[in-house]
Order: sequence, then structure tokens, then C-alpha cells
Amino acid sequence: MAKKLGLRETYAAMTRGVNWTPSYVKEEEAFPYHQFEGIKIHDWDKWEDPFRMTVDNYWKYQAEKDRRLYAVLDSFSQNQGHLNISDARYLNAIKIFLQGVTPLEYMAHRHFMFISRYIPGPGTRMAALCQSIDELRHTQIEIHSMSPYNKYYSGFHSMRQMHDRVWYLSVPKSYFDDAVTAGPFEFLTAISFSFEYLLTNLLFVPFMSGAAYNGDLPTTTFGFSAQSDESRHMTLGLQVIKFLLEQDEANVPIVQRWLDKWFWRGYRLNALVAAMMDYMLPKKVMSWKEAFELYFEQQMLDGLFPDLARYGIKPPMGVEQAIKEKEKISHEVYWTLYSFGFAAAFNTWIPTASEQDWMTQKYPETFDKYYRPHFEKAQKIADQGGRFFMLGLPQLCQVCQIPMLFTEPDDPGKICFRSTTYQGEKYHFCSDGCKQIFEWEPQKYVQSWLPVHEIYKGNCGGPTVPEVLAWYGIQPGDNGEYQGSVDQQNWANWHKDLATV
Amino acid sequence: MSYDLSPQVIEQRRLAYDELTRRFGQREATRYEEGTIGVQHQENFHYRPMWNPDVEIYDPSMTRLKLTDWYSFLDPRQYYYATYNQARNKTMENLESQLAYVSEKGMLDKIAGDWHNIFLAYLLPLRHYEYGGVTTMTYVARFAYGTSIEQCASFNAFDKMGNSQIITKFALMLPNADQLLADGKKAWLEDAHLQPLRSMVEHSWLITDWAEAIIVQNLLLDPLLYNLLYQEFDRVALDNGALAVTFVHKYMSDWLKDNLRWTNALVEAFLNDEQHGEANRQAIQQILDGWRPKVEESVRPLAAIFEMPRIKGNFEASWQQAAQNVDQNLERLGLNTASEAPAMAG
Repeated sequence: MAKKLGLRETYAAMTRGVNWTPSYVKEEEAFPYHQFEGIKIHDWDKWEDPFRMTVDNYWKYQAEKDRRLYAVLDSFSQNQGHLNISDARYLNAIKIFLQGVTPLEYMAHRHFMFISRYIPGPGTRMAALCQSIDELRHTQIEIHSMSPYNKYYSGFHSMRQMHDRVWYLSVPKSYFDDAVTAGPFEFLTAISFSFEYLLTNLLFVPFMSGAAYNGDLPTTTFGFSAQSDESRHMTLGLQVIKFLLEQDEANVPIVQRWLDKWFWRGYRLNALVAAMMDYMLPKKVMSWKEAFELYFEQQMLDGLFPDLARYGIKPPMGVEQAIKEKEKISHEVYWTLYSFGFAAAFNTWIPTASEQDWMTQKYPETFDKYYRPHFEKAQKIADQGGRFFMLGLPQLCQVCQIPMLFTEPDDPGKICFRSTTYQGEKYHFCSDGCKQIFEWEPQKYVQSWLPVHEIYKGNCGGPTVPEVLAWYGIQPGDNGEYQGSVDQQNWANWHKDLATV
Repeated sequence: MSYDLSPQVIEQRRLAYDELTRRFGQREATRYEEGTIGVQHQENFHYRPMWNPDVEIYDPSMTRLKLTDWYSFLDPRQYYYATYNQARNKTMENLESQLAYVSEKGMLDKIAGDWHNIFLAYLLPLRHYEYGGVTTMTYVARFAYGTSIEQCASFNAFDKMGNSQIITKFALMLPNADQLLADGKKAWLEDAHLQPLRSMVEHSWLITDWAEAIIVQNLLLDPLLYNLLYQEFDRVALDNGALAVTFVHKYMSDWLKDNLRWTNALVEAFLNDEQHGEANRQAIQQILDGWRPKVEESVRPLAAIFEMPRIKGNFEASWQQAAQNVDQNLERLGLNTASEAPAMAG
């Protein structure tokens, strides 16, 4: 009689069992990329599968999840569900998501195929294969969820082109380009661990909870639907780190440096999320500061890092500064987006009086002292029928590509500038962290496609603002002030009609 | 009888994303089009890959074939993630109920003992063949240019993993399954009639031109092998009463047909390109002519299994038929077949 294999053995038979070491071609020819980073793997059998999902089960679960998701989207479109969100202002958060995050899902899709192809361990290869097609799913369900909004609102119409060209989108784009151009183990540390595990709650929860609070059914639905995929990706991230650290002591300093780099890269990327969270949600979930305390300080610093200490891993570079900055970054970033809003593919506005009071309450140390005066100045101009804009182009950090807007860690009144010289050229940075990252790999970061430099070089459609905006694909209504914008006027009209029915 | 619902009428500002209205004019787009066309990043990459500084992150020069418009190829099956999963789930449910039937009727117990040895000579080792095909296709999925092509390759890679697991699933229904799996792997690594095939698979991992990898695996190797085993040898199995395995054979045959649909459409797009069609044709023909003899040499030794059953199969006739199926597909595409190829002369 057939001996029944258990789930674990069956999965092993289906994944590890099929793998073999080539003998008709050289192993290093078939798998040329897993050694140049200096990572030492002695025994791939020690890899613990983070999840055990066979292909047939995968098809079954995912088909059922998609069936439910698309039923919601169909009904949302059919019933003009977009009229039920809290306010059209809210959608600016989702524009940033579609322009900034969805293309990253796609990048992840492509590069997990690289991992699946080039890592010689069969357990890792299977996990990466599943994650790759999950990420294709996320790309597509996001495009499909936001498609109904594109039909009625500004800023959704050219996601990919904007991601490739627009200045603030070079922040997420350069982040992911950095990861996929690195070696396979650095990519896994950057994306599976730092992005999907360390910072994922800070990135996704604000968007998804924001969607739920503000009546955005499509985003809430895909958020929930993607959750079970994400939990697989998080388990993979943790397994990657533990596996690398357990395989060889020599891996520890390499992994530590990657953690230092990718925490800071990811944290800087999250500055855009901070601004979105505090300023763009008409119904607030929690402040950035509270989210940072909960999802990073409590869950990661107090929860995860004590666990990693036994391998000799320390909390990443820049953590102390990030903790100090939690009082500031959302305001500093939003004010910059507001000031350069004529060149962004979303609208910005002065927070309402009650929203400003909320900020005072959430940021008692800083808001009234440093940031409220900015908005008072802007309000004065608005009262006279104007709009405050910073005309001119900002200087960008060579690494994170955010304009030089961050202040000194201990002085919110003073902009932080750092610089270094490499091969006779001077390079500028927003922080010690970005400067350090540059100095570790200057040959990489001198290649950065810096949007402001490219405008000056004449690579972005022409020297004037209208020419650059046309090259970005920004259309009237996408950019600038929210009050009086196409979206604001349409929203008011649609709801006026509703009130008279 | 019908009744009128009056939803609030609001004028739409746009019918679809710009990428799609630029291409198709003012019309609503399908979900396949939305999720596929123009999704891959195209310009202003920040850094060169450390693992290969000669290429951009996505680089059209990673194949010698060219398309004026990389989205002139669209998947005739219109598979995006959701429709792909639904389609596969359906065929899988079908297979599962067939295998349940096999099990319920005790059909595997009735298979003559010599079939366990026959399975060991082709089906069990072929789960490794399928897994080797995953390796080739994940390369294509990473490096092919444009979402419409790589998406098909991604599904192809995942399908091959599925095919490998289906064979494993079938093996697990047999007595002494774990021994059988171990012996099957040993056969794949050591048995003489499988070594040319394994060598072929390993060499296909080194093909750097992704379009070439697609042509070799999807137009030559898979079709020849699948036709020979899952069509031709299937008849031998039926003649010998090995009914149980026929459902697995059929699943594989049907899958090949489905997979050829996108592959053929892609080749047609290359051949019909106004600007590059002729150069593409020459390059594709060269790829076919160069690989065909190697592919045939790698599959031919499977002749051995036709000798194994009690009622033997006629290998030569089967081989002719399998090769003819490969040729017919190439002819339909307007390409020359092996017999006409100068490389095969003499």
C-alpha cells in the first residue's frame, strides 16, 4: 500500500526533490551571480520553507480571491461608488500610490523572476517564483482598482510614464532601481526583508487604513485581498535574513551594512507616506508619529531587533535620527510638495483650521512653532486671491533624491546639508545616512538620474515649466492647488446634484 | 419584461488610461489591456546592474529579434493574472476529479507491474525536465522586453512548475512513491536514454537571447517531446491497458496547445513586423536550423520506452508523426522545416 506522505514531505518532494546540480554545463555558468557579493552559503537544505503552497493550491486560492475582488470592483463601477468617498481631496493619496507604488510592485514581479532563476537553492527559487507572480497580481489589481477613479478624476491617467519621468517619483523609482541592480542577496535583504518586513506596516497600513477610513472601497478591497500574499512575503523576508545569518559568520557584517543602507533608503522613501498620512486623509487614521512609534519603534526596534542581536546584528544606522525626525518629516515634506505643487501630478492645499489644530495636538513640540507659520503665510496669500509657490527648482539629494528639505536632527530651524567630493566632483546629500550610503558605493550613485539635473541638461522637454510639465504628461487639473481645481469643482457639483434629488 | 434603473448620470472625463487611448483611440479598455500594455518601465533607469553592467534594467538588446512596437504582440488568450488563474484552476479541478476517479476505481492497482518500470523510464524523470524548463522560462520572464511578452513567459514558467508537480502528484498515488521518486531522479541523472535530454535542458539555461530560448523550448523541444510521449506513447499506454496515466498525458497535451497559442502569436508578430520582419525571419530560421538537430538527438533516445510495454509501440512511425506535428506548426507560421533546412542536408 502507498505510504502517505505528509504535507511537508509532499511539498519537499515537489520542490527540493526536483532540483539537481547540472553536470553538462558548469555550475558557475548556470548560476553565475550568487557569489560576487561575498555571501557564503554552505547548505541550502537548511533553508526553512516560509510557506508551503503547491501550484495547484495556489491556483485554487488565488482564483477564489480574485473572483471576490473583481465582483466588488464591478459593483463599485456600476454604482458610481466613487461618490461615496469622504472627499475628493482624499484621492490625492491614492494618486501617489498608483504613480509611486504600483510600478514598484511591477519591478518586484520582474526581479523575483531573477531570484528564482539565479539562486541555486530550490526552496528559495520556488518561494521567489510564487512571489513574482503575486507581485504581478498586485500590479494589476491596483491598476484595475484605480481605473474607475481615472474615469472621473485627475492624476491617474499616466502612471507608468509619470513614474519614469516626474521628479518626486524618482524617489521610489531610484529606490527600486537600486535594489534590482544589486546582487541577488542584497536584493532579498532590501526588498524581502527591509521593505516587506521592516517597513511594510509603515508603508501599506497608512494607505489601506486610510482607504478604509475614507470610504475607498476598491483600495480597501485590494488591500485586504493582498494581505495573505503579503504575509507570505513577510515570512520569506524573515527567513532570508535568518538563513543568511545562520549560514556563515562572515555574512553578518555584509548583512549589517545592507540593513543600514536599506533601512535608511526605505525610511527616506516613507517620508512621502508620512506627508500623505498627516495631510491628505480627510479622515485621519493616526499621525505619522504614532504610526512610527507603533510599527517601527515598538514592533521592530523592541520586537525584532532583540531577536537578531544573538546573531550580532545591531539596529540599523540612522535609527536615532529617524526617531528624532518623527516630529518633523511629514510637515517638512508636505510643505515642499505644497510649494512645488505646480509640478506635481496631484493637488495640494492648506490644511483646514481643524486639521491644523489636529496637528498641534499630535505634534505639540513642533507644529505651532515651526510649521503653522508656513500655512499662515500661504493663507494670507490665498486670501488675496494668490497661491504660494516656490518658483525655481530644488536641489536634490544624490542618493534618496528628495529635495533638500530636511532639517538638522537637533534643530528644526536649520536645513541639513551634507556633501562629499568624489573624483573631483562635489555631491550633495540630505543627511548623514544618504552621505554614508554614497560613500559606500560612489560608483553607483554618481549614475543617479536626478530630475532637476536632467531638466538643466535639457533632457526633459525644454527649459520652461510648461514644457517640462508637458513632457511629464501632466494635464490641466492634475497639478497645483486643490481649491478651485477640476476635481474640487466636479466633486462639489456632483454632490450638489445629489442633495437636490 | 424589463424595468429601467436610473443611476445618476455623470459625465466621464476619460474612457481609459492615456497609454491605451493613445493606442486604441477613445474607447474603454479591457482589463487585459490595462494590466499589460505599457506597464514595464521604459526610460531613465538610474543605475547599471552590478551583475551585468552591459545592459539596462530592461533592455531591448537582450534578443537579436526586434519589434518596432513591443506591444504589437498581445496574448491571444488575453491572460492577465486573474484570468490566467481562473483558467488554470478550472483545468486543474478537471484533472483532480479524473485522478480521483482513477483512485476510486483502483485503476492504479490494476496497472501491470511492468508499468512502474516504464513510468520510471519516462514520466518520473520528466518532472525534472519540467523543472529545468522553469529555469529557462524564468530567465525569459526577467529579461524579455515588454509586459505582454514577459507576462506570457511568467505564466509559462509557473505552468512548468505546475506540470512538474502534477507528475509528482501522480507518482504519489503509486505504491512506494518515495522510492519511485528517488529512482526517477536517479534515472534522470544517470540513465543513458535520458542523458542527451538532460544535457539539452542544461544547455538551454545558457541561452542568453531570450527569444531564442522561447523558440527552442516552445517551438522545438516541448512540442517534439510532448507529441512523442503524450500523444504517441499515450496510444501505446492505452493499448496496454494503462488507462490511469492517460489523464496526465491529456493534461500535458492540452497544455502544450495552450502554450503554443501565445508562442505562435509572438513569432507571427516578429515575422510580420513591417520594419524588422525580414531580418527576424532570417534570425528565427537560423535559430530553428541550428537547434533542430540537437533537439532531435536529445529526444530520440526515448525510443527505448516504446520497447518496454508488453504490446510494443512502433517508435519510428511515432517519431515521424511527432516530428511532422512540429513541422506543421512551423509551416503554418511560414517557416522552413527540418527537411528543407540546408543544415540537415546529407
